[in-house]
Amino acid sequence: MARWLVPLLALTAAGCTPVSHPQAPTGVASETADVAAVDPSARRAFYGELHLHTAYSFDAWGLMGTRIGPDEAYRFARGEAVDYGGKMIRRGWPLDFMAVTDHSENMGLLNQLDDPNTAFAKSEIGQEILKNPIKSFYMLRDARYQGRDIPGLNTQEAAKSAWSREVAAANANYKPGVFTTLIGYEWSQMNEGRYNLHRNVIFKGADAPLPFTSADSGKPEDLWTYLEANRAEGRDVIAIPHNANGSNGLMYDWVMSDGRPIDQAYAQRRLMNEPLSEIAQNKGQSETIPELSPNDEFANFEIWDVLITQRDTKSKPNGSYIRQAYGRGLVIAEKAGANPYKFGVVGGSDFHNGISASDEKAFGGSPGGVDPNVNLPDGDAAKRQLGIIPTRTLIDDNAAHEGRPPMINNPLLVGSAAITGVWAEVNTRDSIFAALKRKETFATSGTRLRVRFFGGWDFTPALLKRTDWVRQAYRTGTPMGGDLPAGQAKGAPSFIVEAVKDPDGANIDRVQVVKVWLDGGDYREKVFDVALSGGRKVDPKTGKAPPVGNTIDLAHATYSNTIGAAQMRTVWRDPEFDPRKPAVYYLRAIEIPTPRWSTYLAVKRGLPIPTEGGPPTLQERAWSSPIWYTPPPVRTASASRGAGR
Amino acid sequence: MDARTRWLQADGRRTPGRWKARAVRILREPLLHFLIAGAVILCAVQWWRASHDERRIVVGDAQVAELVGKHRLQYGRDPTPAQIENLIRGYVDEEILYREGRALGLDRDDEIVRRRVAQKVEFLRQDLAIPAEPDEAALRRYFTAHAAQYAQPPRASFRQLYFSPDKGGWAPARGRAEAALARLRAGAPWDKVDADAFPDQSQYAAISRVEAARVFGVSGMAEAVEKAPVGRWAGPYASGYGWHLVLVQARYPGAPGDFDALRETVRGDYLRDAQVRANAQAMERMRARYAVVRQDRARP
Repeated sequence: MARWLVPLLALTAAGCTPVSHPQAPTGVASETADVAAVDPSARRAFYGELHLHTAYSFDAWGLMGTRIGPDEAYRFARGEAVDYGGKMIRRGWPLDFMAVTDHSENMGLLNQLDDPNTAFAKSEIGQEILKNPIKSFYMLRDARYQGRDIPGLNTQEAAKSAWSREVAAANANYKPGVFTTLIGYEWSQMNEGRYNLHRNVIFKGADAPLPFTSADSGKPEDLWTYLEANRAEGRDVIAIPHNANGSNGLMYDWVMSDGRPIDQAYAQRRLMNEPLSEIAQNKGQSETIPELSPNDEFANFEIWDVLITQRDTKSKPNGSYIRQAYGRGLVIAEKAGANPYKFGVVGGSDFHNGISASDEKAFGGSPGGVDPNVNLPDGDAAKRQLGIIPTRTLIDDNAAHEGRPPMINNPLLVGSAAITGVWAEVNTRDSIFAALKRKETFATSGTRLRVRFFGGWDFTPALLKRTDWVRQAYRTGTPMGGDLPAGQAKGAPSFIVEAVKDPDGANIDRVQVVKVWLDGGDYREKVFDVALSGGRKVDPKTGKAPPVGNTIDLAHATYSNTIGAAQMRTVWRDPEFDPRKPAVYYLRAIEIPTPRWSTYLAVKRGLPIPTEGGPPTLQERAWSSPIWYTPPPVRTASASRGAGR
Repeated sequence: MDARTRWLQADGRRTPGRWKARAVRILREPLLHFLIAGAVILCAVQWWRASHDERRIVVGDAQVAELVGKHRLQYGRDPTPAQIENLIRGYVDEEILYREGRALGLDRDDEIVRRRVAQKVEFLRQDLAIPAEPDEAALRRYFTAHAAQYAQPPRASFRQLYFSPDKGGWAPARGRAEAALARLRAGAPWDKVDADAFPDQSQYAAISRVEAARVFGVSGMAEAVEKAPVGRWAGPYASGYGWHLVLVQARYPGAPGDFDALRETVRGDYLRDAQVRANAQAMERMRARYAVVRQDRARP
């Protein structure tokens, strides 16, 4: 794409309105748009993702001979057929929005070794280093830990060239009203080379300066300075942390980068710069794990509780998961006066082949998405992805240090992609970005499960019978991502929860509300089953509901929607509410059991279904951004007299 | 104008004879030849040293300006003198590591380096081979040649009634839908028929089969957009959510795309195609300059 084309395309895109259909009756579309500007109840759920690597990520370049760059990645995402190694592939259903987020550390050569699926790990020198860890490897790796890229390849003009192409591809594929692209990149900081502090940086507009990389600074606070400088110049931008699960407790720590306890200024800056966190992706989910949430029977989902780079080393759970971060945020807010962890959630793929697909069937193991009709792995490739042909882990630091052969890779550790849902008026950069900033977002483990969540003080079941219940909910309550309206703490808060199944997917097992609250100096958590399909009831003795059942035919990798519900909607009132205790509420909807990607792949290729390394089935799910309750400030005697009737 | 040019011009314009004779004499002087040759050799050695001494790293104003510029781009403000010193230290360290790495041969036989260099050449080539902006006639020709790609799909406006399997299962839902259809055909108004609340809309305006599939799933209900009769209730059609009755109010046949509305899209597609073609041709020209000797025989 010629450089002069970029501003021109941006201009035309900005001035373009959604293409109307000449034969269609006029008025409908424009009326809707006008209403949307004033009425939030016109918001619709748009699906997309904000975490995809292409050939421009150095580690992705050359994977499987693929040359998918940002332009092809965007075109695939919006439903066009693209050439993938000589075959035309197409997404099952188009996404509504996407950001390509290539590593800004253009030449961060050795961090690519951290992931055995990367081109560098697969390259001759990568493999040579892994087989015979030579002095130079450690010399250069240590150099990287000191914060310097491997130089020589990282010339300034190459970075500029790649970045201008990223920006051009995003702008050229922006189709207002149809498909929104957001300019983005990944700030790929690994503390001590092992502890993941990665963030995706997402811009709102059509221009963005050269990325601030982890080679410039590995401190999130310095990244925020870059974001703040951009916003001050009118370029709105946010950062979204991901893979907290592999952060060894650093992502949602009690302390700042310098080791001091989080203070008010840090908390406020973090909240402003990082309004969202990625809760699920290809390398595990970061909601919670059974170790942290022993009473949550659904916590055992897509577990990746080891370091990204050292898969035989556990990542410390405390500080690595979002549910706990919500609790820590309440504790810190009490002490520091601001909550650094008052963020919403998104889901992504983190795929490295430029192909963003999130269906369980559209994933054939690393490195990413496939068109299940065209390019699922076959032959030995399929056997490797299923662990039938054992394959050594290409990076195993411990083995390298101790002079023993690397451990066997567990290919079933990876999962299919998650995606992001946003409630926005129209499919434009302005509207989608505004939804991200106000945290009116949810994540799903990859399906188009759709959830709504409203908090208020006087929602009743009768309200749900009204056709305008959404408008009422917006008017008197707050949607996901917001605060319960203040000053009305009479009785317990009520919540409207709604889950609607993926039109091409599985029924819903149940809808839950997860509550995290401050109790004394510590936080507690509890999961409430608020809607159960099939007329099931929670056993008052155990506090648990019976399982929904299982319709899976493993041998054929099929299931049927004869159990579960297509749609669930109810009003729930917190039965244990204490108006003095700050609390966080979020919704989690669980689908009925369905086959996991490994089962689909094995059946399709006539291979045995793997029984170790990963489960053959799963229960897909959605997580909403939370709604927060903050107690009213304690009134002094005179203040309460003044407010008295 | 430098001194040398001035001297030559002065020589040419003002006093040609005297200056010329003197110049010729000087130019024939062996000592001068010796000095010039010496200076050239000295310069060459210096230059060679400067550029080849692996232990010598020169930081010039241009380098610092680039570091400062990058900092400005990233932070939106100028670095302080202390920050500039830091930037320079970082640059120097990086250069040292680069040279150490090169000395170890880490840049050779590395697939990544090879591919990166190839990628850079590809980028460079693309920057040079910018396709020409198409004129109106070229755009229209392209549009006509790819008419199918821009055609409008058939659309329908319809009202639908939903019967949920959440109330007792799929078979009873279908039964309720059929009973409702009988009532509708007997003249009952649609809002008096006992249907369930659908999670999306009940009225759709001018949507295509593909758009309907996003709402209802890839299903009979999405097909109904193209197949259901106009002007009377029909069904039941299955969707991902249950059973539906459909009243198509109007149908809009597929049609060729509207060139004026699609002009920018067509232009983008044209330029992308032209770029792909230009790249392929450039690659072909480069291939022609190489002899590829195939000695491979073995196949797995």
